Amino acid sequence: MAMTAVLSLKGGVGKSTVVLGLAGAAWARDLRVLVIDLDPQANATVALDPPPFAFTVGDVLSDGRQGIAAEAIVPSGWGPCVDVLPSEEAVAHRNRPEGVDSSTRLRVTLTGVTDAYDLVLLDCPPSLDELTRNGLAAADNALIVTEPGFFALQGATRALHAVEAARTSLNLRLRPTGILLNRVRGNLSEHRYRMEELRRVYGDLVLDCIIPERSAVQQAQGAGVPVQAWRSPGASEVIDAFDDLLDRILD
Amino acid sequence: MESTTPRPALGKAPDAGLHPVSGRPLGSGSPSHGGKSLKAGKGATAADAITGPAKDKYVDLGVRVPKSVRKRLRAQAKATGVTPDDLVSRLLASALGTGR
Repeated sequence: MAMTAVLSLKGGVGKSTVVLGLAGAAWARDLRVLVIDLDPQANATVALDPPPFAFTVGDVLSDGRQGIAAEAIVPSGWGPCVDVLPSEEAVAHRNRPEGVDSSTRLRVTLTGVTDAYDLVLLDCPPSLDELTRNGLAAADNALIVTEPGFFALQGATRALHAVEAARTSLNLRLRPTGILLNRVRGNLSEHRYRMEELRRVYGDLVLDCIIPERSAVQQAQGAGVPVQAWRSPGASEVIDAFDDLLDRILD
Repeated sequence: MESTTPRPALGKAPDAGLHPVSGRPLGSGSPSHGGKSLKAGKGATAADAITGPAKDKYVDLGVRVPKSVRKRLRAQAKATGVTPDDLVSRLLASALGTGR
């Protein structure tokens, strides 16, 4: 089982989109997937279209008991292989430290729960507060998402530092999977420049697979289905990219 | 010897019902836009769906009705303190299921 935290310290770079793309790639292979939505914006929760739910990851973190997360997990609308630990606005209350075990509560509550899954994806909010720290403390690896733009690349740099800090202070198992370039428009010279810049600085940490900007991604999200179920030429490119990314994560 | 008392089930966080910014009560798990569709109509934006429906424009509708119906309409409008036009709009909206 691979447990991957998807993060960036800049908002709007497509973290939830990447989580959903990876979940969709795993769905297409009939793998069992759990998406843990740590972002109070709850975009991943909404896109996964679960039935009405009673509890969220905020309630789980507030409780903190070993294995209690199982009681909040619900099936998604994507099918029986994809489950979600949902989020809501009030999860933001858990974004500040609450006691000495505050950063490791998620890991404790997931004890014995994640064994049933082939892939667990943690959608972190765009900040380095307690929700993200919980994600990094629970995960085996961290995937940093960025766009090929100036501010986004700065966010990626800070996210890499955060992963290193989390590894030394919270979770020695944690490894960076790499930096994923999302929403790439290869015809833009600025994008090409920033991608080269990032590769110059971070070398092999920049993943070879890049996610192109295609409207099919937003169309599938709006329809509440995996992009892998969307039939268009643009979707095919994105599907291939997420399939390659899933291979990298499951390696 | 292990306790046979079942462990308490997961409950809502004490502050789960409060908005993280205002501290005021949230709707029960509903999104801040009150569950309204964010799909924008022609000329509208997503903000319109959040702040409320766009104001309806009024247009002329020429219809022929029996004189006795017009008489009762005017009487009913006077009794309820609205104009005949408003009363017809409400009755039609109600009959057509728009909820206005």
